[in-house]
Amino acid sequence: MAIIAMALLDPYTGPWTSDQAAHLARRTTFGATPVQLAALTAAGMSAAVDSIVDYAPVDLPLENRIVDLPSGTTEYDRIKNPVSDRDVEGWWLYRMVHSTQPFQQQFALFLHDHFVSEWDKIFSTVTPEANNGNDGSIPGQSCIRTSGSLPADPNRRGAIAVRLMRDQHNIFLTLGHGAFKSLLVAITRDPCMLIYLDNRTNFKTRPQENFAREIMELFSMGVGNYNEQDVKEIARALTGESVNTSCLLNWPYSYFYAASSHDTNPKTVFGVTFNSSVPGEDTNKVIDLILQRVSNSTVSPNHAVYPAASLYMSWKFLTWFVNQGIAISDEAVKELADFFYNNTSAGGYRYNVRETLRLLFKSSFFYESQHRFKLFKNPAEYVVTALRALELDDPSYAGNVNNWVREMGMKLFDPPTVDGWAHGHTWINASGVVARFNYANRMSTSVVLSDTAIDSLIEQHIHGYDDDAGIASFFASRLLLDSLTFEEADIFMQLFKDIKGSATTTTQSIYRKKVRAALHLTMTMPRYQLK
Amino acid sequence: MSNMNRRQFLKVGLSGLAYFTLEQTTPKWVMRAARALPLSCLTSGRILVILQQSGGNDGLNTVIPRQDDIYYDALTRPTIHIPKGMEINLDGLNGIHPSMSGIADWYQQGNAAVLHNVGYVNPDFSHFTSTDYWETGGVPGQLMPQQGWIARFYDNTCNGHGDPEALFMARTGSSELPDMMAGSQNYVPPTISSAASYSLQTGEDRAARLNAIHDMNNLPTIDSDVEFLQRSVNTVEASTADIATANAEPDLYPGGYTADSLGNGLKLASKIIRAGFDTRIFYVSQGGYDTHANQAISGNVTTQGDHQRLLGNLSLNVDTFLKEMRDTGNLDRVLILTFSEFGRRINENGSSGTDHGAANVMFAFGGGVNGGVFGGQPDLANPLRGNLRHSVDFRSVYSAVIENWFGAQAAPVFGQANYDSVIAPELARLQFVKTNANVKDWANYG
Repeated sequence: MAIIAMALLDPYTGPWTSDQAAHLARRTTFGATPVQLAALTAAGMSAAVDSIVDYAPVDLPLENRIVDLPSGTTEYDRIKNPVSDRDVEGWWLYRMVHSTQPFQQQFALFLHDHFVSEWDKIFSTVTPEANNGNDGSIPGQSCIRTSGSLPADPNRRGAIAVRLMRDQHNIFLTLGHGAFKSLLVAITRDPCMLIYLDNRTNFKTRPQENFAREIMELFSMGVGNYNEQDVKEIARALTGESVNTSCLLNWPYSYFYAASSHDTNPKTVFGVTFNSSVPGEDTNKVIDLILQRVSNSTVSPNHAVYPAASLYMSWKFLTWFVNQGIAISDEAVKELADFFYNNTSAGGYRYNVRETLRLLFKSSFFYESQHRFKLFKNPAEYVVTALRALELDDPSYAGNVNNWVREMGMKLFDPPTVDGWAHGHTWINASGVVARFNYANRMSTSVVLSDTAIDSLIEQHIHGYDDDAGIASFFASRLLLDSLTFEEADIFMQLFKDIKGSATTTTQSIYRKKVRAALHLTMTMPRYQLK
Repeated sequence: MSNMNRRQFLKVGLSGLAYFTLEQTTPKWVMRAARALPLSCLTSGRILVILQQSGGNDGLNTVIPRQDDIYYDALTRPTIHIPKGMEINLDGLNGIHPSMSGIADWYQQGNAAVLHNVGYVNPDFSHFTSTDYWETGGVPGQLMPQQGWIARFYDNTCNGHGDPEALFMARTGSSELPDMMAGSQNYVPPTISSAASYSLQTGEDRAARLNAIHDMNNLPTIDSDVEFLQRSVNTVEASTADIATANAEPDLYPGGYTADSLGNGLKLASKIIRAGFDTRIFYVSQGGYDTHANQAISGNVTTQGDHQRLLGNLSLNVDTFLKEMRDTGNLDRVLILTFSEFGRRINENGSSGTDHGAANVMFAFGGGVNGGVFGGQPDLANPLRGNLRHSVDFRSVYSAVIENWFGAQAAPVFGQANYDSVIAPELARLQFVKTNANVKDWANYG
């Protein structure tokens, strides 16, 4: 199979202005501040994309910022040391808002939506006795003990569940952009996933097909590329990939290869028979076979030459970053799959995620005007984009912002199904709209936007308190990274007129009311729901 | 409050609400909503409540075939079967789970129907795919419809009959719009997860801000996504005041609803009906039926466990809802229809649970129901790969509701060919809905 000539994914060669840079920022970095947008514009297309995708595994300024947060306040203690679902949701939202390499967070969100684990199942799996002091530190003791060497702590169970979710999240942050194979292996052996999709109880005497099915159906290839016998054989090959429940270690839910539970008879997957005596090698083989499996797809004759995983994952990248309406049979999917599978130039391995995303974000297809403002912002993006763009902070991420994001339909670390969130139109329902608009209202109040913030943020951009056009365009430029149409501007002017009433000139207090109302209104615009 | 009273309230009362008296103008959309004309379709006043049991309910432990020896065989359900005599007898052949005494009472009063063996050809065992079939009214081998069956039913019956009030349908107790109600050309039903928080907040300058939000979401557009957003915002604007009105209705049975999606959903549906709104179709949902493990506590306490808790909550909430309907003279115009994406395997698995199955039991409740058992008994002796075979297509059940409850046409909803070949022949066996003649005409209800 040869590398085909690109067309849609040829490098973008059109004009590079703040308009194109804004599209890139809306799609990859939760928008941008004016300084950030100016830097992306000045860098030129190629360097701008590089500056976004070449993030470090650890966001040091972010970690330092969190270390430096004052202790002793409920809010910051929750972010520094989350022990519940509420806390860990706030923990992540705070990181999204304050990350210095936001694409890392955006891509972690993609991966969380792709490799789903749900809080409810993880939390309910952790033994409640953990709160009684069971640290699993006594050899031979069952994990289910009523007490232990640690002092009782009502939060320990929650803290263990949080750690399971955070360890999985850390895989997304540190391995997400590399070789897709490494990511699949890491996820297969992630304790959180081993619990969530039950592979921890997949033993040779009682095979469990839950993970074996989903690693193909949802995590790599999509339906239609395997049969029920393949599911059973992969389940057998993955027997023994488990978590430690013998409590020989301090951490009772660590990865554990249960060699005695592994099925040592030959397995046949996609017609290939294998059986290794090396612990865990059958897992490696399964993932190799999945990644080489040529698509059964008949949607397009050309598809038959591509590995199913390269097509499926390319389709997921494209629907997340470019346009939800893209079908797996589309030309762009084929082109991206070809690069994803065949191009080994950077790194020397197939399925190089970072290089594939780099190619996508530099492609002419990505910047086509038909895609502008055609993706719906998810609830996290709705909140995070506004806070980042205005360089504001909400005083309560764990307990307040996280609740609003839940009300909008997204409980982080707890997607509704193993297939993740449905996205698109499903974000826009009546209750979700109410929650979005009410969070916009919260932002417009002094809880988030203080009088001081108004003065320092905006007064330098306006020409006196009567500069209504200046107020309106300020929020459009920050939140939409776009300018207002004449009709939209007119609605702002009417709003300001209504607020001003019959006064002939605007005082500072009326000016602040106009600013608050303008922020509220901007976040209710259809274009702000889109990106 | 009756319809007429409520309209009066909207016209006269809204300007009296505290926040508007502080402002110079009433938001324009409030005026518009108050002027809306009623829809001239589905005018009988009858109400349908769809109740989803999400995850795949184990029908065999819900309605127990108490005369079937295979059910009690040690190889079938050794650790999770309901021990003989624990079930509540319905009709001799069938007994209901002991946690469902509330529903059993309604059965004895003739207000509950059991529909056995409902499913479709070539059953799919994926939650997602099978739910899609039940929500859209599609079946394997045919193109999956892009609209939910209720949306198609609505478009087919009501297009050209005026603009619906925002609350013509509602999903209550959850924020997600069910696929069943999605895709109408003309109408997006509101979703209300919590009645108490379903209102647009404004810090200051309320009327000015609400007017601006309205105008911003009503600019002319040719963009389908923007148009969709606009419709959703308009639905919110037109329904928040109504929900506040409804939410002021009292709880007639305090503690009678659980504080979860199903309890909150039925509680709000009851309030909306009792407040006199013209809502025709509600959708409520209860999750957690995917009982692969610990469905029952094995041993001699199999009437306890996750499934017991789910069915107990189902019975409690349905019982309270029906009582509130009865006490307010609404029982004869409500019909609750339950569904789940599939039943479960006949034999239990190794974890005191059951795996995904096929045909299943549905319920219909309310004053418009002919009580009894329909669809024959489940045939445990003749399984299809370990699962119950279906003898009633779920689209026939929907069609019975469309035709006999609403007096509308089902064939255009599911396709004439499907109607002729599958649905029409089954309808005669599905007389669980009282036909128009039997139910008081609610056209001038209120």
